[in-house]
Amino acid sequence: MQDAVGKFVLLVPAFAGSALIILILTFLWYEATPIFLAPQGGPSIVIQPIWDPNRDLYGIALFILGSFICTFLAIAMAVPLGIGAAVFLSEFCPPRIRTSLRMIVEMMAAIPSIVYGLWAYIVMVPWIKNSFAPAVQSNPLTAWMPWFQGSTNGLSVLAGGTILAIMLLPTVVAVSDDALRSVPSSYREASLALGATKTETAVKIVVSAAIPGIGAAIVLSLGRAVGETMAVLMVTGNSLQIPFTLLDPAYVMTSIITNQLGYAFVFPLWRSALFAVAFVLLMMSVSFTVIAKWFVKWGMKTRGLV
Amino acid sequence: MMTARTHQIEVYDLSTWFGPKAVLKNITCHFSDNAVTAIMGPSGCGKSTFLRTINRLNDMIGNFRMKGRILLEGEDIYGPQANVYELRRKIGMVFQRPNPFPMSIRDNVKYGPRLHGVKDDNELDAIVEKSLKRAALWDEVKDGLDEPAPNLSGGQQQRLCIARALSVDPPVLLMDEPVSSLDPISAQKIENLIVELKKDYTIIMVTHNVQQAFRVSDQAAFLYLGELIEFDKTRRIAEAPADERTEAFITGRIG
Amino acid sequence: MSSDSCATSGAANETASSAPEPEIGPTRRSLLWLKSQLLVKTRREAKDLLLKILFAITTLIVILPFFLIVIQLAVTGLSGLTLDLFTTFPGASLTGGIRNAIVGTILLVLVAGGVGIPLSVLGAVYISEYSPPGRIRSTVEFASDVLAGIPSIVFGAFGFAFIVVFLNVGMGLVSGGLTLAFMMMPTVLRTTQEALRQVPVSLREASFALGATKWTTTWRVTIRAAFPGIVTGVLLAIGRVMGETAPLIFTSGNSLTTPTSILGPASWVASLPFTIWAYVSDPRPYLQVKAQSTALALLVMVLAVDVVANYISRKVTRRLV
Repeated sequence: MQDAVGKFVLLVPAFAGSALIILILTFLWYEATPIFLAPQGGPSIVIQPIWDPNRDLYGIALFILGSFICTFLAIAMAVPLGIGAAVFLSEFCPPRIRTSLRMIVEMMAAIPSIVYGLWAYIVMVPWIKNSFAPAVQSNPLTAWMPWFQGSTNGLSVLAGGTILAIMLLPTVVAVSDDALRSVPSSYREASLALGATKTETAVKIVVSAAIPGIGAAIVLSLGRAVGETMAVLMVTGNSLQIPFTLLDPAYVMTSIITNQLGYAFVFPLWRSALFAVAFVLLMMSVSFTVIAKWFVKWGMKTRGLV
Repeated sequence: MMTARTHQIEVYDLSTWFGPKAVLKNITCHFSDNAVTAIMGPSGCGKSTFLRTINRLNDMIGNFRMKGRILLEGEDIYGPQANVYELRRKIGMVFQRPNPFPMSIRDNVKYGPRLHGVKDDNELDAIVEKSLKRAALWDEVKDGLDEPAPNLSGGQQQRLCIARALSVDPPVLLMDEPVSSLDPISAQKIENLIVELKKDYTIIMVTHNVQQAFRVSDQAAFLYLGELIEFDKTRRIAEAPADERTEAFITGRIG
Repeated sequence: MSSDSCATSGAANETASSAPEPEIGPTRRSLLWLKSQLLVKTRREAKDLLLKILFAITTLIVILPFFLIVIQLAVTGLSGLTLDLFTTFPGASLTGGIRNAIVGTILLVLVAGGVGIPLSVLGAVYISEYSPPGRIRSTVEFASDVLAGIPSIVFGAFGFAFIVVFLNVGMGLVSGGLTLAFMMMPTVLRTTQEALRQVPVSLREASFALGATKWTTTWRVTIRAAFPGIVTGVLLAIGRVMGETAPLIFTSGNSLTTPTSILGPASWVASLPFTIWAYVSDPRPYLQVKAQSTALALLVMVLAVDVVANYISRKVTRRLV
């Protein structure tokens, strides 16, 4: 009897999570539908680049592009660095140093995004404007590169991508490190017994065996990068133009919502368009979660690890 | 080919320590070519350490120390000139629990040759076939070479590990209780395989199973508490052990 | 590691063998190790060494920002970390302290935790102890993972549209706290589930063998054993939620004082992250410095929670194992 009651009582909270997702999905969709149905909008707003609510133009493609570029930049920097550091921590680092380093990494993961944003705003942005851009544009080796062109005040795709990368690194490192360490040492021994060096073993055997976990971490990082709000908001410049170089400003999906939802709320179409952006964000993050799970399953199967 | 050396592996006065703890004490012996030498003794007590000292796998353990000399083809494997990676190519190892890499069967066997410079795909595939045939596994897997290796049964996995070890053509094979984690039928298959392989390889096999040592080996070494008590032809030891400790082990009074 | 462990030998053998070599001091040993690493003979060994160095450098690059950030905040913000900062309200000209934000953050965390923690912990207990592995469990786990990945601004937009407007709760403590609760739930659920999973089955079985019911076993035995793990998960979630800005921008309002009621305009509440955001966006220069001091305070608070959580979890693993 006691068990039956207990079971029932616990059932409710268990489903709170699922109920919440359905609620969020429904509500966002409800708020977003008007713009998809309206003549000024329609589903094609996803590919239209002009955003000007005053003239009834609600193209959100610009923000999707901005998010895409910043995320791509962030992942391109965070993944190699993160995996490299994880390999060092798990395969080469002496145990005592490893504990301290892991502690630092975990503390980095705990730093709030507003703090990262603040630091990026007061340190990174001026640095890009005063040191990086001039240096890279005057040095003959790099001055010709198309992605370094343009004048900038520091608020740029580069700043956004870099601070995003810094924020993603702790998770990539931690998850990859755990994945690498859980690879059984018998594989390493077999590799060494065949005459491989430690780095060959690390790269060809250990990393390869840990790919399911590492890959999932990367896909989840994609999701986090796309959804990151405050830090990116403070350093990307929020400009309604397409970024063509690393030094150009951009406008990402999370920023437009944060900046305009307050004002837009009383204007139905404007508000609906912003919710449409939120809905796109939601869809993307759900997709990344699903892809990450599927990737782990696929990775394990091809390695025969069940 | 090689010079006319009688013994590929010669051990002189080998002692090892893990930190302050002495594991092997003053071991001197010569392993005969193209024969199976069993190293037997009670569980623990240095047999695996001995094996891993020969292919320098113990280098990985921080507080490992050794004294004495081990010569492979006349060269001291711990000498300043020694190349440990080349050494491990010449000395293959099969472990107690089968440990195929989480990759396809083909990639498992290709791994070794690739490390040591073989790049041509055709050559690699030929090596894969040759190694799997030598390990008596080819017929069972030849149609599924790209299947993940861990999907094989225990006995098959161990034969794959043998094929993997053979892929770099090592003159010496070290086997650390290769069948102790397998079912009796697979175990027997592999024992027969080992007897076949000795024609082309020098095999050093650790075992704590006395009957197995008698079945499979030509020479036997009895290791007790880190000391080499007896080392002679298996038949002689089986029929007339010289030391009472050897006799106690063989008859099962200690083990 | 070697599978050898000579059970009996030990002391008796040490004297029998030849004397071990003299102990080498740690500095000499590190130098010898360094020398052995640099002694490369073949191209493969050179590649090996180069890669090792590369990996080490990568690690240094990865942890560098941590020090840069802490140093920057400390250098500029430390001077502002006075007792006044924590005890006074900002006042209309924002020249005072951040007491409103500190109290506000604590209140918000209390509301969020009060709603989120029981729901998630109980939910995790259910799917871990009561539900058979199957559709229900995997659905709840899937929902949890999806929730964990949803961006914070989406929670903010949802909180605004649903709680503030649709349910007509209005901005303030309740709306802000609930939105934060939604964000906490997936993490607490997963960490609690993991902590419960780590409790050995034999513990539960021993309890059943003594005749206890499932309910008693779960509460008296399993949860007690998993408690430190659960606490760690809760603390980490709290640390995360303390630093969230986006969910609060449209749901908590802002205030120069502490809220005096739970609902309505008097429930508008400030928070540390929001204050940082507001000060940075403000043109007045003295607020830039205040923003950094506030950020430093927030950082210290969050890291403290994190350190405590890690300490607990480390103490536990030593006990259970």
